[in-house]
Amino acid sequence: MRLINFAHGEFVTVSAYALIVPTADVTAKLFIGGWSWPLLILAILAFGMAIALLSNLLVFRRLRNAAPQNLMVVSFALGYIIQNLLMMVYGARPKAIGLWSSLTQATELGGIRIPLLQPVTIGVTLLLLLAILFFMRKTSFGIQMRAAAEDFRMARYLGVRADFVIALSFALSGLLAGVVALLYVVQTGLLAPTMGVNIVTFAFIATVIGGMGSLPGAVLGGLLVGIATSLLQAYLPDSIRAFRDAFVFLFVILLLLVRPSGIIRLKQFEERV
Amino acid sequence: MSEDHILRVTDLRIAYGRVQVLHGVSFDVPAGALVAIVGPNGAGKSSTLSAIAGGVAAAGDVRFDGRPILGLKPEAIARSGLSFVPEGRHVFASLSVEENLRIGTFMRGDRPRAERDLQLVLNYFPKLKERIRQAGGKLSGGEQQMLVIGRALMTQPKLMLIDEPSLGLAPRIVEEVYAILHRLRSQEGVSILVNEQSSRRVMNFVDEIIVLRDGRVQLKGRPSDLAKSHALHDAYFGTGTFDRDSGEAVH
Ligand SMILES: Nc1ncnc2c1ncn2[C@@H]1O[C@H](COP(=O)(O)OP(=O)(O)OP(=O)(O)O)[C@@H](O)[C@H]1O
Ligand SMILES: [Mg+2]
Repeated sequence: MRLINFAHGEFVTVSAYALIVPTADVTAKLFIGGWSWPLLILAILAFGMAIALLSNLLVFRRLRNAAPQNLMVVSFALGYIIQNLLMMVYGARPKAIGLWSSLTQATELGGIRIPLLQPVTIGVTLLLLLAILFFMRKTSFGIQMRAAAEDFRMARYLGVRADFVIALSFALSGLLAGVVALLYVVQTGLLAPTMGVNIVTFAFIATVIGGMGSLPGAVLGGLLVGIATSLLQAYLPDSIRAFRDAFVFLFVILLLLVRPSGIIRLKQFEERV
Repeated sequence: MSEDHILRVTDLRIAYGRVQVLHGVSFDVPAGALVAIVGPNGAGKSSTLSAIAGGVAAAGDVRFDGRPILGLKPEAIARSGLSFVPEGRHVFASLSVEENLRIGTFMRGDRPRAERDLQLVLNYFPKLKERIRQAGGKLSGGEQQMLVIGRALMTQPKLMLIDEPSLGLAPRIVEEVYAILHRLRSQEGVSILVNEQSSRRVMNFVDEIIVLRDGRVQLKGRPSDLAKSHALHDAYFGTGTFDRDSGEAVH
């Protein structure tokens, strides 16, 4: 199953909304968001995993033999459905939410004043990256996932359980969605039913320019998009700064014209062509 | 009867859409034997092995170790001790040689045994030992063939199905591969069923030959018996006449 899951953004959104009490009220009342932080983190990560696993169980599992492009369309549809369900339950308007606001206050760090959240985000990201690398390279589940990603049929002939490996990748993606939800909400202080769309768009771009299917590629792509965005933010004249994202996308198009398969090209994808 | 046959295939029928490619194929693999299915292009050899391994839907009856396995998931069949090496090798190119080999052990609970088996496989295929950290995709064709056979061995199979082990290999390497298969059969007690296009290459190594053509078994027998008559040639090319039940050529 080769799935580019655009509903991933909605996994993030759902995890974020789990922080508050489900009502259509304009003001948000903390639910899980009011718990002590270790419990809160665990609950949100579990929530992310649960929504991802549920999507697999109800939707993707039934479409295992569908073509990748069809699956992608399905994932778009699923994303919209989740967005609309969220709107029904929570209302369509964005809500302000104060979560761990001390993290966003500027602190003195090595002579510069930055919000503590930034080093925390970087630290968490690095840690997750290392954890994923370790998981994929050193554990039996990780090796099975890599084998299945490369040749699903052959992996099954070697006893790798198809259902299990797929569920595992969904669980992993849900876990990451939970982390992103927390970092994003703390940073923006906002909840909106469409908040996941932007996140997944940029993530998708990062993967594409980095090189589809390559973890180092995705990291590199993410870094590039991030740097391009902040440079544009800093140096674009005021009058056109609002179009910053358009310029980012322009940069992406130019890059793909030069390197159509992304920065890090995977041997396995070349061989298949 | 079922104790001395590790695999019993009865009236196996396969259709792709409306095209029937296997028309009721029956044969047995005796426990501890090395058996070859030979036949020309399109005879249905690969389809037969895939169906047994759970990769292709089929009708009929397949018993492995006495248990019916037709319709089970491929991973369930693999976990019951039947290891399939499909056409085209399918090395995991981005995984190292060692990771490729270890995939086969994850379904087993016995770590220490798995370590010993890794050493065993590396002893059978010393070339893999030299390249243990290399990416599987970087191996030569012959090395890849050794790797996939070794990988299948790591699942600790009672029966291995190997689709055209000689495909694309130089004659010297083919000899080497078959010598190893022969040793696996006699020393490790693994039963082996291979597919080949040409019977010539397997004659000296196998206990039994099954000739498949146009989706039907044309002839079965021991290579020594078949070599004496024209039956093998006739069955393979569809020339001459022979009695299908006894497998004897009628001239
Ligand atoms: N996936 C498939 N879909 C449709 N037809 C198929 C498929 N696989 C095989 N066939 C057809 O089934 C018949 C038997 O094919 P099979 O691959 O089993 O033959 P084979 O004996 O292995 O041949 P070869 O020696 O060329 O490998 C052929 O006519 C082939 O075209
Ligand atoms: Mg074939």
